[in-house]
Amino acid sequence: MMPLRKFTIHQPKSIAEAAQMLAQFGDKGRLYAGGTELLLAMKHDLLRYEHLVDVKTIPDLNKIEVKDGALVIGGTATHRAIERSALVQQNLPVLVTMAANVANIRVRASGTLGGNLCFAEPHSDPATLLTALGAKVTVQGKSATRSAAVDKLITGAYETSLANDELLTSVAIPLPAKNQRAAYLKFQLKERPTLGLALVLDLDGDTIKNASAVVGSVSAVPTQSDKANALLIGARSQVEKQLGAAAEALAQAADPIDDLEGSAEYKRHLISVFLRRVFTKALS
Amino acid sequence: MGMGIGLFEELVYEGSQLMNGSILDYRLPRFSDLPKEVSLHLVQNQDGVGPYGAKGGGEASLNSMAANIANAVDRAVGVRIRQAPLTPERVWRALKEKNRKDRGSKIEDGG
Repeated sequence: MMPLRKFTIHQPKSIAEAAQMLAQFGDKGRLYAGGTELLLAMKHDLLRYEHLVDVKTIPDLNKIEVKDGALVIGGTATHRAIERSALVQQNLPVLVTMAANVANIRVRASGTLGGNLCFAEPHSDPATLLTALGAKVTVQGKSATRSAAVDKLITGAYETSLANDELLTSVAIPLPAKNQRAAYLKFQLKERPTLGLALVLDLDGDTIKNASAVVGSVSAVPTQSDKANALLIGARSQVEKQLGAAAEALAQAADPIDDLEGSAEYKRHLISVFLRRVFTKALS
Repeated sequence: MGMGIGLFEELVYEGSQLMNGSILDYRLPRFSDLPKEVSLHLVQNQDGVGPYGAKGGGEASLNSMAANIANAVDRAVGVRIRQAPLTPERVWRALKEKNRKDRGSKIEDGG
């Protein structure tokens, strides 16, 4: 392996300064947070940048708070910080379990939520769960701030809708209503998940009023299917009979690919197994 | 190491290009994969060229590990897998094949 090529690290003091730097460096620069994905790719010479804009030192960019009916997590909050946050534990335990199982302890200690989403590695636990939870990200550029749903931020494998000068400043997850149940399960043998499945259900007694099932890691981006979600609505006993059909619809929408994690056929099988499991878990 | 051979370790090539040349993609056993309890049985047998028939005790035990795992899978679910490592997908495929054959033989039996 080649040694890491030379680059300069810049440490902006504010989000505005970071956006300014990103605009100035253009394709020669990249935002640097935890570095767990970026530096690995740079070590393998798959990516080359002359300038890294280190946003870890920007004050309060790692803040976790409850604001306007949402849990708001700063872009540079690490997976570990999310796992250990009392605020997240009280409000969104499903996020704690997910964060506690991202990659390994070294990645969790330095990898950030914003970095995970913006690198858009297809095998992302947070991207899958946050899509199901209806999370929105706030993105700030040189001259404007905008908000986008997670599935509008991540547009492809390693591709986002971020402009050159834009950085993700926070992720807002709506606080769950009392009748909401959520679960996330994954199948993982190696460093990255083979499959992740998130399910969020709105209940009215024994009836499911609304459902959002998202499968990740099996193809380029986390996927939902309107058809699958519709099959997950109704009386619990009825929905249980439709789980097979829902899994089929979800697999069709996700269109899994063959890769080192397994064949497309195997991943389709996993979707049907894990949809049943995550359904049981969400309602337990 | 024997457990790695039996469950995870495999070099994947596409043509001459190694596809899993880092520990991100090449899975090794971890402590979390180990059983909570290991019971050890010593089989005493004069075999080696060393004093009192002694021989190295480490590598020889590697030979049996993948086979042990394959035997355990056969005993648990009734499929004989002859290729290491026994990845989840490989076991699933073997089970699918067995189910297909079982169904086929029932039809032949007129069942």
